[in-house]
Amino acid sequence: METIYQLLQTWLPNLPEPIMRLISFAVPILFVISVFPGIFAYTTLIERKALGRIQNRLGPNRVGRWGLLQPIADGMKLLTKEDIVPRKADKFTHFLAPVIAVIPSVMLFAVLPVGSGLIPVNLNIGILFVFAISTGSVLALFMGGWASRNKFSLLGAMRAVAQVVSYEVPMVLAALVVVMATGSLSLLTIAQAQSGGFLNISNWFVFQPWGFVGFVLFMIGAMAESARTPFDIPEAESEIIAGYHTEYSGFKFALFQLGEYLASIALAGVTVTMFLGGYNGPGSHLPYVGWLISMGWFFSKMMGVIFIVIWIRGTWPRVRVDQLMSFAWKMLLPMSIINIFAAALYHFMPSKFLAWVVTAVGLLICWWGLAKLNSDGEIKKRTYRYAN
Amino acid sequence: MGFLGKGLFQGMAVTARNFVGSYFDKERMVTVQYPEERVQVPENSRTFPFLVFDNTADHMRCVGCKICEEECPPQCIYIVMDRDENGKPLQRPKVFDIDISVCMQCQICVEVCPFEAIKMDNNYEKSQYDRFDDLVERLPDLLKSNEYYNHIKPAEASAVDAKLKAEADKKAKKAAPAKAAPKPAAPKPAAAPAPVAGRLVIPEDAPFTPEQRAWLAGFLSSAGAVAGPATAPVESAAVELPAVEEAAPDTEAAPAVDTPWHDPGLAMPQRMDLAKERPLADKLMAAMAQTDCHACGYDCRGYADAIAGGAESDLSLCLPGEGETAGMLEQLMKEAGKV
Repeated sequence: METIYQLLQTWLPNLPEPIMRLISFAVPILFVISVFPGIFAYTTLIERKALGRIQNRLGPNRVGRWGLLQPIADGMKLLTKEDIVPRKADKFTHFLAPVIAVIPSVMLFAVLPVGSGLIPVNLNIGILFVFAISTGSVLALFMGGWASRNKFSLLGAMRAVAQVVSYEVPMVLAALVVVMATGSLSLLTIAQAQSGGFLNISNWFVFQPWGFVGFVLFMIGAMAESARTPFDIPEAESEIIAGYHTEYSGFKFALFQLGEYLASIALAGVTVTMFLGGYNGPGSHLPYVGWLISMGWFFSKMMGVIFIVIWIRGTWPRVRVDQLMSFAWKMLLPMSIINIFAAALYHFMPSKFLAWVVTAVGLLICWWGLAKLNSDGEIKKRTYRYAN
Repeated sequence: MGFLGKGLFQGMAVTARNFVGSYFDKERMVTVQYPEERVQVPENSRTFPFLVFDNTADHMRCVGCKICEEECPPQCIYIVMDRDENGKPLQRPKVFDIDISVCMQCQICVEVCPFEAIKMDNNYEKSQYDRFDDLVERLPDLLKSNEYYNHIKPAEASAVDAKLKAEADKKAKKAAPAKAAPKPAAPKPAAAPAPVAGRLVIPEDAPFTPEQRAWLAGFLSSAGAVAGPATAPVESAAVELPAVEEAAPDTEAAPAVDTPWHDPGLAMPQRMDLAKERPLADKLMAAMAQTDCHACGYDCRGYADAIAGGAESDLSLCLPGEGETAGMLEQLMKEAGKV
């Protein structure tokens, strides 16, 4: 926003001050609300295509070449569908829930640095904002589930609340190591802290032991937060139909989907910014074209993370509710706390190389120990007392 | 070496292989893109029946005998026979409808058809816009050429063609001696129907009950007729099947026993043999094709009674029996001195 304001002052110094302010507000907003829903639309296509290929199918290929118009067809279909509200539903809340589901997801993009110096709002408490807002979506899920007056919706909503609240904790703790390393809550500062080094790559936090562990933990937390497989317990269709959006159809359903995907994309963006170097990459600091290259790096990394999430969705089965909870509290939470200590140790070690080795080995040992502590032991061959 | 999450990564590797492989290995992709591509259906697959015609649509094999209509389990066939102004059957159907929304594709109509006229199609694209009228196939829709039949089911159709050719040859051979010697069986009028066509005869000491023997004789003779080219009829008194005579006593016990020849599986000689001690009406009935097809306007019993009673003078009405029945009827009427 400031960048645009400064550019306007340089290029068009005769423009009145309020109009300059207005333009510098409008451009990032238009960018966010036009680019990211477009990414959402094509992410659904990429997801369907990739899942198809994973299962040796073709995926959508009828609407347009390679199915490129499929998102538009989907959108038209959803918009023209009948909007059904259950007779005994709490109509106002039922209407409000999908709207609220989208708002926090869109707001997350406000603090994402999509390129070198390109950030809609450079909040100095960016990470705090991300966590505060992304948790807000759970309110929409619960509103939707509660207002539908449907057992499955309510069950799904309760699962969603339990899951999001549980996974919030390790996720925040995993993000904390980055804050410790950079000493700032601003996502732009965090991204800047990862620049430099070999080809603008070697300083990414993911290449530190604590950064890698933090990255994995944060990815897991983000997937759980946006209810992606294998953590799609709130909408486990084999158990509770579609969970909290069972009673939604047409445009409201589309809004729920939009909110979920936007949250997913935004959290992928946050993951990239915090651990994968953000917009940094070879060529991202060149004069004149640097902003374009850095934007390309950011979006390609973000799509890469999204592709990994899709890949995981195409591979792993859904966890059970009890497994979900025990994984969060017995595995991720201790690991993220240990990771904070590892990051502190890394910071105070005299030599970088020594620090790298020591923290890596320590984290591996802790991971192994936690796995041992949590395992039920070897699965024994089952014997049947009365079978023979 | 195992570590926590090993299986998860193995799974990721499998899906990655599928993902990448699907772009390079055409063998992996099982999708058949339907309107552009089609699955090659197996030859024996079947959907709905159609009617076969030879050369042109006027030469349809179907004579409108209604056997398939009677046998059809879900009753999806509707036939009206075509008749001239005198009520004489024209040996073709006027109306032949198959309701494919009712048809269960059981192929029983094909099994029972004596004329090889109705066969199973393998065209599965039968979608229509109207679920009532459009799903009833009328005679023009049903008629397909023998070439089409040969095209969709080569093996089956060539077997059928061979069989029809053999029958035609047999008929031609039979017609030739009949012209030369009009009355070959004059000395033995009662036993004249005894010639058993076929190479398979049942030995007299075979362990069969009379019913089994009668059935088996019919089965073997029909199987012989289907399987190979016709052989010259063997004139032999040894195959008169004496046991069968016991099976046809003059008792009125049960209808099945009363008309034991009423079985389309039996060949003409066996049927005549079963009825040879009976009154004229029974003998006439035994000469019918036993399908109760109503092509003549009666069932088999009724037609025989009508001829015997003098109400019906046309002896050529039995369509499934073809010339065989007509000739036998004529012979029986001559023997009875009624012509």
